Amino acid sequence: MSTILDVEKLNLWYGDHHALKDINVEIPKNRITALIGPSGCGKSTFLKTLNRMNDLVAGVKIEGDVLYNGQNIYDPSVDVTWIRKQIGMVFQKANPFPMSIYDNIAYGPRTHGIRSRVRLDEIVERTLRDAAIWEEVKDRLKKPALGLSGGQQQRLCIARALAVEPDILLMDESTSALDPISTGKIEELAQQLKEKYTVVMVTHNMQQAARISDECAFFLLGELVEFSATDKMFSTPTDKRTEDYITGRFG
Amino acid sequence: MRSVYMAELEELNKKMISMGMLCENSVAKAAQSLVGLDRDLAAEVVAKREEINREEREIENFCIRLLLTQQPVARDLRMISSALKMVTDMERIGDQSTDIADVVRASSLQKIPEGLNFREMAESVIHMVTKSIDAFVNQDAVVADAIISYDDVVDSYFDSIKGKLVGLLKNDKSDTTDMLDLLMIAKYFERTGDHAVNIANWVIFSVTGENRGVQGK
Amino acid sequence: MTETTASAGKLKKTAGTQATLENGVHAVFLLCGVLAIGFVLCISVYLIIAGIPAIHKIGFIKFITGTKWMPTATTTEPSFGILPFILTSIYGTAGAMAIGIPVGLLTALFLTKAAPKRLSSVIRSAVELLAGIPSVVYGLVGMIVLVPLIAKLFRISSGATLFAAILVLSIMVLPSIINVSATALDAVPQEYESASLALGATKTETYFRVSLPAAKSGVAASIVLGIGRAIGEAMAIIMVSGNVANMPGLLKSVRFMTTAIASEMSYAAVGSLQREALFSIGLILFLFIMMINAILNLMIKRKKV
Repeated sequence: MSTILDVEKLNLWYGDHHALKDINVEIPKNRITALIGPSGCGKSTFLKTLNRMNDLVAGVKIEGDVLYNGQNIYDPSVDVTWIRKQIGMVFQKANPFPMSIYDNIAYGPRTHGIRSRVRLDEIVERTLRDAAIWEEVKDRLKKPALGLSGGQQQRLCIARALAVEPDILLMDESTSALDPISTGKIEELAQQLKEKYTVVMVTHNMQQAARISDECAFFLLGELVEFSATDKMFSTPTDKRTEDYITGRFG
Repeated sequence: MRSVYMAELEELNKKMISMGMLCENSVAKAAQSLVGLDRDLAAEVVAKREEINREEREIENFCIRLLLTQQPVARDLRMISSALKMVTDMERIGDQSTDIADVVRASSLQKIPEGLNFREMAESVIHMVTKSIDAFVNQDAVVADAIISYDDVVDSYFDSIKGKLVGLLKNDKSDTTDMLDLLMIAKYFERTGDHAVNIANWVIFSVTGENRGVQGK
Repeated sequence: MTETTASAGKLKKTAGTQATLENGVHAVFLLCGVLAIGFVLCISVYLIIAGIPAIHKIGFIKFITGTKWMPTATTTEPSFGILPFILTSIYGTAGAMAIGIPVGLLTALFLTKAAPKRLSSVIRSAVELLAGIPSVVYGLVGMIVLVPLIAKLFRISSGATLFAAILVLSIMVLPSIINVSATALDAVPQEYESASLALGATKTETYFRVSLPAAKSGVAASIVLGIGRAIGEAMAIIMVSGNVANMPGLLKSVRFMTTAIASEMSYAAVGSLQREALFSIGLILFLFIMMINAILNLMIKRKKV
């Protein structure tokens, strides 16, 4: 099991607030890693450091290294748009652009220079199939994306993220706004995706983490308390704080 | 804090303690009925069987409902799933006691022959059952471990009694049926010890997560 | 028993007075609304009544397409062609928008997306100030600064030209465009921009390919607003445009529809065709503005849907 993201001594401040404290973790390749923890523990913040989306927050200070395939993504010489191409993100609430389904998917590739209609068609079909939504939308690619249901929109956003051919897909509570059936479809999708991609997901649904993730990281008050195989974390966690959280003993 | 959940876990604990006590009493009374050859006491033991079976079903249903509604993990999951397994062994202990009582009632035995240390064996077995349930209540893996080792004592009592019974049968001085009855009773006590060991193993699983595997039934 | 009937009685009484108050207030609201409609109706009706006769006498086509405006000609037949005014208004507005739209949009983008908070609030205050400056002050500054500058730059005798008017108008429409576009851009959900950035687009690409298109109905509304302001402006441009009834040329002295009315109304003889024709110009201008408003309403409705 190789490591695709190596986080070393990562610290993050929002102004004076020390939001991430000395995080050290190795994210394995082609696995689903779940990040769990109570509200405000830093799991979403941590996720956003992996594709430098935190750079956009005013007053943020980041120290430490995040090595992607050995290269530090925070090195000043690195092109941040290239990082975000390699490390894609799907958000909590589905956010398709107010454009057609086709244009939503084609947006990313067009940004990165692909203009050929033939290639774009191929990318659109391939990613919509990968996201298990092709059959549902293939006859209305030119219709507005906002006309789809919530679950479909989220799968569209996954397809859109896949269209730029990332290595890693970051999912920030991507099913928390969806009904159980849509959630189930996306969970299944995540499990298929890990063959070609690496998935890191933030979830506050512990059953979901237990169900589909291979590795699990527990965050509390900005610290990474425990990181282990999911089976182990949910049957015999090492740290008492982890056990107290997952059994619901602190609230 | 999941207060409803916490209350239900407490409730499970209480139910387990209550069933544990029922089983302890059954073993103690069965032993007493043997030693005193008290056929009325034996009848009481038999009468309790239905209650023990009912408690087992109740606790099983309770555990299954807890698994469905609360989706327990970690320590709680281990505790609830081991409780599910333990009640089976407890019910079996009840069965063994009933079987002992049945034999005592049906037997024509008038006196237990000299040198057969049934009393000591019974006391050891009662000790094992009591301690295994204590281990569960206190979630004490050390005590559980001690019980598992202690089973050797009960086994050696059984071997000694069996040896002596073989001797008595060879002598041809005693009633064969009675001797066989006593052999069966000794076996039932020994099996009770084994079930107490199973309970102890499940306690260890509940506390540490280590699943050592249990002895056959 | 008596207590309940007493309190029931009080309840009825308060209910009664409340109802009367409610009805009273509603009546006042209705009155205000009716008054507003009344004003618009009156103006419209008056304009139509005042404007129709001249159009009728001169002939609609001749009025609209005639290129000569000489209402007080004595040696020849007086002509009442208002095409110069119409074209000047159109060119002037178009020119103002040609400058105002890019500058306004880019400023709005800068304000909402790129500027640091403090700079942004300073610019916003400046824009608000611009919006509040009276037209006559614009005209004054234009006359004193712009007109001589243009004369010197292009080596013409007088700088009071269409060009000067366009420059002044473009500054005047900037606040409308900036404010409304900025509001529309602010309203673009940040999620769209996050999504674009997460796909590896740069901030600039995001602003032009996601934010602006998403804000397009608001931006369109701001443009229509700007057009409305430009076409209706009289005071500022009367001081910088030269006021000659020429067919429009960039460096020629020109007269707009608005300035045509403003400049001749004071001396047109009562009851004369000239005076009536001025009313007709007013009517045509009014029609233009009605059209623009109708388009604006259509756009706002579409945005709400």
